[in-house]
Amino acid sequence: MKRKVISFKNNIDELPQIVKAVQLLRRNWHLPKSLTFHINLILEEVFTNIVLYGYRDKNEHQIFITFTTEKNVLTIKVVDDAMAFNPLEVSTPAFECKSLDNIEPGGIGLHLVKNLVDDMGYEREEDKNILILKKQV
Amino acid sequence: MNMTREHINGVELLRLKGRLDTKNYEKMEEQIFNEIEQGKLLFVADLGSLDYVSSSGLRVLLKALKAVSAKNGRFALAALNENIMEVFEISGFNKFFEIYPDVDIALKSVESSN
Repeated sequence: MKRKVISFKNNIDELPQIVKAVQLLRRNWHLPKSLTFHINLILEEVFTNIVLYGYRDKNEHQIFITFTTEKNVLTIKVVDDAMAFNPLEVSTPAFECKSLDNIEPGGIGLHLVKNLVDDMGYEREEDKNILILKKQV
Repeated sequence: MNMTREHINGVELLRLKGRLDTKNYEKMEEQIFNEIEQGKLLFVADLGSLDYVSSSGLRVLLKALKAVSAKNGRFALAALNENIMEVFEISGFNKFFEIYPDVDIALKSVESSN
């Protein structure tokens, strides 16, 4: 089992650092290249949701991302101290049923995440959101 | 992200390169909407060199499509790589956009509206 924890500030400017971290992880853990696109997309959507909508204050917060790989499963745990938010309780829109006139672009990010992971779990522990995402490697 | 523009037979060809994400989508939005405000209504976006797109990027493209469609214009996409195409398919946005395998075919089709 391999494990890596990285923390990021609640700032969109951290996105390139996430991309770098995923690149490094792929190299060190010999993950398939095709996986990095998906991992980057999943993390960008989750991270931006937390940063843009999760905090009421303007303070600096840390968001912890833990990568674990065991057998053929990559697990990504995202822990933040933002407002309680369970993405599993949010129904994502069925875009395919809508016409261009009435499509509302909100919720696309979460819809992508749900479709790109193999499993998704959520817990609220004390004042922390814990999101666990699993993907077959 | 880098975007270059070219005017070909009445069509605006936008060439997108690199990553279109939450950090840089506003810059692209501004550039595209500048064109739309100038009255341009026929667009082809060449995504052949676009490596990555997130929901922020999808939203900008959708916004542009809605804006030009409302004025009977067209906003076609061309040369999407496999990863980008997958994002369009998962989001369902492939049903709203005209998507062409290559830029020349897209230009020919959109030119015909001119």
